[in-house]
Amino acid sequence: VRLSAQRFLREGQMRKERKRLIIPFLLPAAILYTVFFIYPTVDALRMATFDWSGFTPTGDFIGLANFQELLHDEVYWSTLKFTVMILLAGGVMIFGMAFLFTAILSSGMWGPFSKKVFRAILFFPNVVATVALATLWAFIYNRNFGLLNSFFEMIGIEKLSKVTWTGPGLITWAVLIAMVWIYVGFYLVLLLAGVDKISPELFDAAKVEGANQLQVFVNITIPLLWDVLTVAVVFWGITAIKQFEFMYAFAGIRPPREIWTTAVYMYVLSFGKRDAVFRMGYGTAVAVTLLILVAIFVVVARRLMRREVVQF
Amino acid sequence: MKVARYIVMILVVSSLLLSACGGAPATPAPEPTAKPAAEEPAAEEPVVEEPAAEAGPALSGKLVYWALWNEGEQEQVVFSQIVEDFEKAYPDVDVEVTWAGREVLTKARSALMAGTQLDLVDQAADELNAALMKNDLALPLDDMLTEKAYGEDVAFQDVLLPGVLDPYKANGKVVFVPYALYTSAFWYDENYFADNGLTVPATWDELMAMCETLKGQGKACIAQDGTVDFYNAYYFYWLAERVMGPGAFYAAVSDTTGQAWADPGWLKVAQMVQEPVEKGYFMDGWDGNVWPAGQVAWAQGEAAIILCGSWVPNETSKMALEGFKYRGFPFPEVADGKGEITEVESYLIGWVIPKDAQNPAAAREFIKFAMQKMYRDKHVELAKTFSTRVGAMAPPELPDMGGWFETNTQLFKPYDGVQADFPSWWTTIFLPEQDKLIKLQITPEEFIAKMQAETAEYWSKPTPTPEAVR
Repeated sequence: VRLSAQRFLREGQMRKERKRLIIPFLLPAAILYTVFFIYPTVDALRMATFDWSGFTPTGDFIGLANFQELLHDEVYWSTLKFTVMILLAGGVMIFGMAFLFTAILSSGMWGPFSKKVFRAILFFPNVVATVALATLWAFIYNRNFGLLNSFFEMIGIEKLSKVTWTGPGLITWAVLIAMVWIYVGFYLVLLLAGVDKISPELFDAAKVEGANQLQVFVNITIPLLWDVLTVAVVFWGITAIKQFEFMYAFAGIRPPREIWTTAVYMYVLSFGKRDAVFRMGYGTAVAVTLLILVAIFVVVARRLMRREVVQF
Repeated sequence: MKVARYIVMILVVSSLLLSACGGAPATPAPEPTAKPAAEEPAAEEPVVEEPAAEAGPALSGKLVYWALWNEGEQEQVVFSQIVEDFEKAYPDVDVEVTWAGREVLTKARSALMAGTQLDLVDQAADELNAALMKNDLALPLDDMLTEKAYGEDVAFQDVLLPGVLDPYKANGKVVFVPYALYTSAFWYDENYFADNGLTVPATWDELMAMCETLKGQGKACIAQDGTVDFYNAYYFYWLAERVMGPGAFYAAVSDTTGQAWADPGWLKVAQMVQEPVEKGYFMDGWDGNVWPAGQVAWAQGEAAIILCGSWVPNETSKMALEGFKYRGFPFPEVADGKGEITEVESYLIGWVIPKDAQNPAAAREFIKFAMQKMYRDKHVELAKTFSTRVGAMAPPELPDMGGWFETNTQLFKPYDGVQADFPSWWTTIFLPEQDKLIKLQITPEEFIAKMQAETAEYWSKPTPTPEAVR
């Protein structure tokens, strides 16, 4: 009994010491996170209630007037529409393709080397700066000497070789396709990493039972990938809602209106540039709505994707 | 626990998202009046003359200058030499120059807020106006105007072209000293016109007739980078100048009731914007041209003319057809219009000394030093633009522009001053609608109705205060 009591006391002491150690280890990170992330976030909420150019120490407090103005701001709603289009249509295309490639690559038809090469090729756009990719795609879509029209001309489809891919109506889809090309590799790598963790015995057992590739993918791969998929969807939501660089760099001196995302609009309002709007308070209100959008998306996505945990 | 998890997740996500608002933008800026960066002449020796050897006032300390030019641009080459020469002339002054690029004011904002030393900044007048002048952050420079110009026996104001100090005064005081002058007009290749038997149109009808002739020959008349909304807006703005006269566009936006747009003249302007588009005078696919595709196509002889700023010859010089002879003509007059062909847009780039500058004396002296004729000539030579300095050379690439300014009967600000004084109206109301107008997505009547309603709405907001009275 005495020995047990001593051991209990010793363990208690160790727990206390461990707790004491946690604080100094966590403190630097906590301070940095508070100063550089939490504080700006809270301050942004405050800034959104001011009419402020950003060039003076203080602005005029206007309460929720910036948000009221947003309700009637047609440009804001059109940018939000495009942002949601990226989120939903882009998401469907990206995850559709990522699933397709995951199914193909995890089917066992490919050797480990081929799988790695294919994965690396698809992931490649992620190692190139977005600005460079945007410029590249602007050249691909160029009506006169772009790669796409030249290709159609080469294979003799005259009608398609004359299409203005960046013209009204088409440019949004043109940009979406470019974004799918950029991001599909990243999500494919995430999903494949999840597949690699699934025990091969499960696949073998399914095959022994006579399941075909599709049945294996639907009944084994997807359920066991569900947690990874949930994280990937949330991550895509955040990525899609804050889309900025590609649109901003796509058209040199000015992103075409049709591809203004809400983040681009926030930048134009806050930092002006050619238009010199310099409405930092209003721009911050736009940013706050993006935060709300992300929050809603995260909650809805996690609720919709909630499943019983499958263990293996 | 789940709720707590959500809260933590949302907090992390929101922090990442919102903290981006406070930081400097990470994306390289588009170049508004950009010259092709990093052209070879960076290696060229800029100014060879010795600076005027005149003992100026006793100056000392650090002079912090943030310039809108990027390293490698022709203007940067000129200003580097000026800085070097200034430091030789004033050995006790250490000029700390930052080539900040077109985002200079975004960066300056953080510096001014943080109390970081910033003594001199340059940018286009409209942007300086919105950022510094309107916020009462620019130092008045009136007394400097009567001081002697550097190395000359004349007042500083006399080395500047008449009228260039007037448009951007703040509270009646001079706070902005321009050094470069641009304008917008139609540009063409003299050889193309000669080969096709074209003559410069003086009226809108002649312009349309010229385009009809070219269309008949299967050639494109007008090049346009149609995805750039403020380039598309040139058509509405210039037609407004010619149909309604200078100042009318500004007055229409200033009308708090929006009723000014009911004037039939505005409907005529809107209809005329659509005329060349409806008649097929714009090059194929113009509305999808991502800059600089349109201007490159023009420089390659795929269209006869382009309506753009006077920076376009410089921007296209490397890709133009061999022997391309840059010429320009002012936006033509319109029959029964109130505007005249001799009314010219002046787009100015220059300096402002921030109100809280720590070395304003050195900054003032630097401005005077940099306005010496030899530096202005070199600027003109390398950057192919006009100078605001009296007697400075004219760029041979712009043989017509000097004449427009010499014979002008009135100068006006770009976009009639609307972009400068009503940037929110310009960006959120006008630009998107005029884009739809020129792309035939709305009718002229719908456009005018929208302008009427939206302008009244713009002025009816109790807060935030519209820009013009901020």
